[in-house]
Amino acid sequence: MPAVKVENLTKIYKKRYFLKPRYSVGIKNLNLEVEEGETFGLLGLNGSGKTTTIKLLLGLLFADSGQAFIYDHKVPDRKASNLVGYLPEAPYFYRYLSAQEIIDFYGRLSGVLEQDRQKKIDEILELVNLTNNRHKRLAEFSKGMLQRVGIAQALIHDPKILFFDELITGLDPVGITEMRSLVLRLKERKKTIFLSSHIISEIVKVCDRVGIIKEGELVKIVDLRQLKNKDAELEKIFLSTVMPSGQEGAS
Amino acid sequence: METCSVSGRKNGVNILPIAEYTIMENIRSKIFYILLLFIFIMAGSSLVFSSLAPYTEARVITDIGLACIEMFTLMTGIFAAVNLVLQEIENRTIYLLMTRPLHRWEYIIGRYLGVLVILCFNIITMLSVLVLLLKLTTSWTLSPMFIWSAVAIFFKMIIIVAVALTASLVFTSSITAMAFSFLTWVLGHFSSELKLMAERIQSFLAKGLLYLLYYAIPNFQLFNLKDKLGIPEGMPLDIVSMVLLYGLIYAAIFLVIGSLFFSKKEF
Repeated sequence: MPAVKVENLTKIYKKRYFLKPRYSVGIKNLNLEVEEGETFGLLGLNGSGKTTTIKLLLGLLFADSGQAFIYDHKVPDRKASNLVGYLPEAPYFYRYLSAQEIIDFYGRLSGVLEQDRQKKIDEILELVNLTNNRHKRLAEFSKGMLQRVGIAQALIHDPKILFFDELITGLDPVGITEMRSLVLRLKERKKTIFLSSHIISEIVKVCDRVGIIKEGELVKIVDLRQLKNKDAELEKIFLSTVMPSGQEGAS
Repeated sequence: METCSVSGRKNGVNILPIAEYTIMENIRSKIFYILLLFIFIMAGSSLVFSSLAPYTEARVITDIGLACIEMFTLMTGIFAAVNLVLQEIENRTIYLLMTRPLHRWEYIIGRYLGVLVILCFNIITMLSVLVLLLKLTTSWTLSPMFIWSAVAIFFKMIIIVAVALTASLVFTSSITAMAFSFLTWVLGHFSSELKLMAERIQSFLAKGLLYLLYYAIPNFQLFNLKDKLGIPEGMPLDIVSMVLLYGLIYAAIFLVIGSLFFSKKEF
């Protein structure tokens, strides 16, 4: 059974300008399967539908047609929510809480039992290297540290699937290296990871397969395990896919 | 890392953590400076009025104090309830909450109860300041009227916080939601006048509108518990229970409407 399954998923955004509705495509007829333990990357330009896809899978948005499954749970579903961990792009947290408090809060909401919670928090803070800053308020944290808190909250209930939206956007080189290392460690633990990015060089370092999304449509799936020179080859495939023919060389 | 046991999820189980963190959020935010403002206003007014009205200063300070408590509680209640969810959406902290195994109505009820606990604490703190000032500056003694006036303020908050929270979900604009809540508050204090106008007005449309307002808007005049005093043995419990029940039913209706809107909301 695939960990994530998407069937003909469509999302159309509707906005009103002076009472006149305007429509824009979020995603269109998207079909996709991600196997358990796989690291799958959704690659696309800004506004191509990466975040929309993730939000639909998490129940933050509702599909206009089609369906999505987390294992055998059709989303949105509370049981599916217990199987996933999510880190949004540039996550915001309650700044008045400490790292320890915020992870405890999300642990409680995810149903992690009190007797297990402290042990679990200790392990996760150790994993994301925040043990020494656990009692510091998040208002005092750097962007990289906040991103690590984001990973920690996503892991507190030991989910099977992790959704990372633009994990490294806005991070400095040290932060990027830390995030990559964390993803690789989670991959070693056989977590299913679904991440979105527009940075090819990072996606090739962690992903098994990559889906290229353009204007809301999943136009190509590339198995990186079959590529020799992953970075260069994926870049070539990506540019030839997302850019109008004849313009690839110009970039 | 071992797999952690995840408890069975019962409906309503997430209300408590949401309420607790709402309380913590408010305690650590600057909203508590409003209490300091209240203390300064009360201290200042008590000094002024004790010199201006030497024989009735206790009555004057009590009336002003209770009115101030009601207004401060109303302002903080509406402000907190309206901004709670809207700020959460704006700051995108809502993403991490809504992707948890959490019913959306649990979030609304948790937030609502958290605000009520904070307001209860605020009322008790402000009353303590008022009592202290009265004791220090006058020969005031505690009366049932004083206690029931304070209880009535809290009962009104049970409704108005639900109105403000729901308005923030329906209008998605903090200014509109605050204006709606405040208007509800004002009209709710003129409930009998609304009915009288509806009975006397000739226009069919205006009559319908006034009756609609009369029945839809909670009647805050019912909460003037001090008006029901005069019975030597004190406030009858059935009156208090009925008023409380009235408040709870109104709050429940608004919270159901708010939860329905919130359940359809996309982030």
